[in-house]
Amino acid sequence: MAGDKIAKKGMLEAATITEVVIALVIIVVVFGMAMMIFANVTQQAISTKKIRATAVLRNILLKANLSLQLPQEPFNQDGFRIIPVIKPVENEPGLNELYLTAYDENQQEITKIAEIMISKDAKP
Amino acid sequence: MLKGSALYIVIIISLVIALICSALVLAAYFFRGQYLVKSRFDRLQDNLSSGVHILLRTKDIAYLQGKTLSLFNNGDDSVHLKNIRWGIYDIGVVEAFKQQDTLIKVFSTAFGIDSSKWAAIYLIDEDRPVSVSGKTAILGDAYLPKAGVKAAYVDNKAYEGDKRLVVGKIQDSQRNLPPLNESRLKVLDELFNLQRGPVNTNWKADTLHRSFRGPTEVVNLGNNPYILKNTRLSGNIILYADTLLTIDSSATLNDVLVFAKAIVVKSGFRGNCQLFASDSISVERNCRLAYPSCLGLLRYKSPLVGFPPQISVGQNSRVSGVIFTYEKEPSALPATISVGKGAQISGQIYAQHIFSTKDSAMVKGSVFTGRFMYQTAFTRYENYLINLKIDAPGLSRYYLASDLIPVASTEKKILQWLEIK
Repeated sequence: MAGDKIAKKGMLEAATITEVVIALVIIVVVFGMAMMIFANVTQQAISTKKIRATAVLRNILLKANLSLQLPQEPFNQDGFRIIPVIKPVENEPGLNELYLTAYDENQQEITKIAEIMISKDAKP
Repeated sequence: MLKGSALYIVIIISLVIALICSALVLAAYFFRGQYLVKSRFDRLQDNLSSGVHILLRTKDIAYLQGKTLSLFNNGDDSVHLKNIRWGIYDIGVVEAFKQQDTLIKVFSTAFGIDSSKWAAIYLIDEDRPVSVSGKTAILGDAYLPKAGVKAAYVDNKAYEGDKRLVVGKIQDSQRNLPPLNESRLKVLDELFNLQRGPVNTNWKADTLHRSFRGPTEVVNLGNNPYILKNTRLSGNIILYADTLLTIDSSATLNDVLVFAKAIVVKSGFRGNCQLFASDSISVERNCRLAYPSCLGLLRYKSPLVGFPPQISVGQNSRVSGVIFTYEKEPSALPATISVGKGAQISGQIYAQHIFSTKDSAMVKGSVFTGRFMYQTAFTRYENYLINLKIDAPGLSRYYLASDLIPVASTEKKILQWLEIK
């Protein structure tokens, strides 16, 4: 019936407005900080792309080591553009410096490695 | 009754978020640390490989003293390279370093085989044929005298082998053997006459290992006969003896050089080493000299009197590597390499004068000799191959030769990894 008292059993006691405002401020600050940390960590972390590109270059080096044939022309492999540069080693006729650089689809340099290699073409 | 308690809930949620954030930061920190370690290790590995390649190709003698290089003309990639003349082979030492981190590789090197010079037999032409009898088998190309090869009936035994006599191409040999490499002989001469330091007749070592990165351990055993027993020697060690050195079967030698007037390897010995003598080397029965071993008889001066110099490999012994004789001056007592009954040699034999065999001897590899000899109690047969098997294709395809023997190609390869750190 109208005018009857509502039974309090099972009801939630409301928080004061001050309490709610403080809680809101805290949650906003904490979230803000979390977002900043997350952004920093993801920005500074080594990209998987770089790790993958390094692995691809190392694989190419390994194959060149076994076959003694150095890649002469740029080529694409596993989504990367690989640019080889070969320079003869001074006073060592059988040796070449091999520089391999990996670029992504935006032509941005991802990583590079270098090694002195024996090549089949350069006889001892 | 429940309370609203918004503050408590927010604090708990904040704590959870802080926990997740710290875990994220920590994971990123460790990942980055590990990545940097790995990338530095990879770079050092690349530099190490570069160093190995340089040592495999260079002819620069500056590396004999050790040389530190900056690769790719930047200060970041430094390597220290050293080449060591170790008997008939070479040892390469490569150290790649960056600040506190160092990677090391030590390896021995040898040469591939030049197929145009390789042969199962090279017998010099003395205007007489070579005869085969019994169960003799010659597999592989052969350089033989122009008088050719024929089957013979010896000691009531006819030839029982392949009708072709030589299973391979036959070419004419010259009147002299292709010479041994002069520069390697000079190295051996220098090692033989190295400053030996004070004589230590009571020298004894239980277990002794010397790294090729450090100075050589030179042991001068003087001119009293010495028996090497109950010892384990490996690495950068050279033993010198002015008289007889006996190596007992209880001794183990790995990669060690031994120079003496005469060497006796007692029955049952196992190991891999390079033994050089000026008078004789005797390997008794049932010994195992693993690859890459070497038995070398070196005579830079011919004695006026004495016994004929000899290398003998006893019954059922196995030698894997090189056996050679070298006499600088012609001698009235020519050097002989003698292989006993059932003995097996895997590698190369270079007998400047005489190669003597007994029944069932086997050579997996090649024999370069001035003369073959087969001796019974009553008779001596020259240039008769009786019950001898020479199997050139039977040699491992991974076998590498020393540049001392004139079949080595110019391509230097890694023979054995000795240290990797």
